[in-house]
Amino acid sequence: MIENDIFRALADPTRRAIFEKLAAGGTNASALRQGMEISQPAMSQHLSVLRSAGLVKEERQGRFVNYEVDPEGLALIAQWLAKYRAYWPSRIEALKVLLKDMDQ
Amino acid sequence: MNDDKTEKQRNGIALEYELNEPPQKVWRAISIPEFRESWLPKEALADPEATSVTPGEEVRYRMRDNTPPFLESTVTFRIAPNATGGTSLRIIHELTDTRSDRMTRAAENSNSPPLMLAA
Repeated sequence: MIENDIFRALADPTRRAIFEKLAAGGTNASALRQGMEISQPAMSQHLSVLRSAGLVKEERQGRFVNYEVDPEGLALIAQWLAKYRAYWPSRIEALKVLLKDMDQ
Repeated sequence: MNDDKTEKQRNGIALEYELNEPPQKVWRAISIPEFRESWLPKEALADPEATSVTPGEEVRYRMRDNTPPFLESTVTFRIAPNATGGTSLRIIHELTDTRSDRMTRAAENSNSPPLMLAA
């Protein structure tokens, strides 16, 4: 399930940092590594996890592969969070009604 | 309403509510099925039985989405007395699946601040 892949992908702090960097603008893997203590194979591995979670997509440009945030992946996170942010307050209102009706 | 401090978690949602009733009463409302049913109906749950219970403190249920792709998640209700004789209720709601153990462990090991998602 892709939603669970998303949360797993972002549970890793390095991947989260990479993702946040890409959120600021698409770039290639070697430019991404600048300012990060990370080997090239490790970066490839992280990008591959982000890609299979649907968070990042790649596009070949000549000798380079350009990486950018995949808007569909972001929309899935936003959807799940939005649904349950609206759900719980309504459940709590129902809980308060119950508490009023209950005996001590 | 005297509600809610909201915070975003990296793999779910965490909410906190202040209730006027004492913890013993809130505990019955969240842990006894007949009471729970009236505010959190079993249709929302993958299993109407709690998956773990720490009496008077914490109860956890598995939830199921009511729309496709019917994602399973875990919700934890944690209660504690507050300063005014009422109850602080904390709701922690996380996506889970067969890989949830690994996912949770990774999250616990990380000291980094939670990802703030624009939503």
